[in-house]
Amino acid sequence: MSTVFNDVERMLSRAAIDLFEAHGAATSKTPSVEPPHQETECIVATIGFAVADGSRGALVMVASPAAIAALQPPDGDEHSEMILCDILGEFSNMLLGRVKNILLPRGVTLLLGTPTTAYALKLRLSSPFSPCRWLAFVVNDHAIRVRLEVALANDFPLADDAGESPMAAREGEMIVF
Amino acid sequence: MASKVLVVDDSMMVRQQVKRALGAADFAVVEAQDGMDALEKVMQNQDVCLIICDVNMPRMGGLDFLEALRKIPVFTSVPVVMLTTEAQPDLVARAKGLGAKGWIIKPFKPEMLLAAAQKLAASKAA
Ligand SMILES: [Mg+2]
Repeated sequence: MSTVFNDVERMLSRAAIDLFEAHGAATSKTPSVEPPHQETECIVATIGFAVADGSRGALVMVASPAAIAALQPPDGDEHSEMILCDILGEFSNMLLGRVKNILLPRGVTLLLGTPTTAYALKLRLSSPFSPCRWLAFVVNDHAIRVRLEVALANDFPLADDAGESPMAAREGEMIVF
Repeated sequence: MASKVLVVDDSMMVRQQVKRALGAADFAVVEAQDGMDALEKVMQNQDVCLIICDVNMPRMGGLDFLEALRKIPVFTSVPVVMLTTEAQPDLVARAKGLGAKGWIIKPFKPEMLLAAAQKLAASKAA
């Protein structure tokens, strides 16, 4: 794997831990895993992204209904599959948004898609054409898996973090015009 | 009468969270799931006093919605706050240029959103 891929993977890992912890979840990273062969029901959410230089990729999150409900209890008593899909879809959006915000000061701007989600029994994800890696987290005692796929157009150098972020604010903050 | 707020987000979870945050005050919430839906909802609810709007959504994103909204004479000055994971400076500048009042980066703090909503709804009523 290229150094850029490894750098982005590290950023994703950091962003995931920050995101889950910002939702009050006890979080730890576990060693990388192979594709999950889920025997029971699970939810999957994915968002594609692109960079102006032609690089592209996708983020995939896989979690059990129980993991999602523990992370963000759905409103009311209803734990319908569609509500759980919606929640994981928004988490994938917030996670990729955080990665984008980490990359911005390094001179890379991701263009983000919107989430696609599915409820699955016996999920089997096919291997992507691009290089990919699985990250695994234990969040509130439940497994949440994240797959990063990146096809780099060039092994673009990431600028050193200038320290001064071009982001106008951080997660959870408001900019008043 | 309760002040009417339009919440535009493709995530039902986010719309519910905003609704709950605003529920602490006397707001009536109307929901839309993307920019196209929001354009229909504003025409049916011309008395909205505040719009809280996501950026990345299917069909029509929040900034394109804001641009279209400003071309409708009754909505040239309705307060709009963007609520998004994005923090890209040129996107923030575009919202500002279109007369948005604020930009919140998700996840949001309910008390902060409520305070902003109360302030902006009051300024619109004044
Ligand atoms: Mg969204």
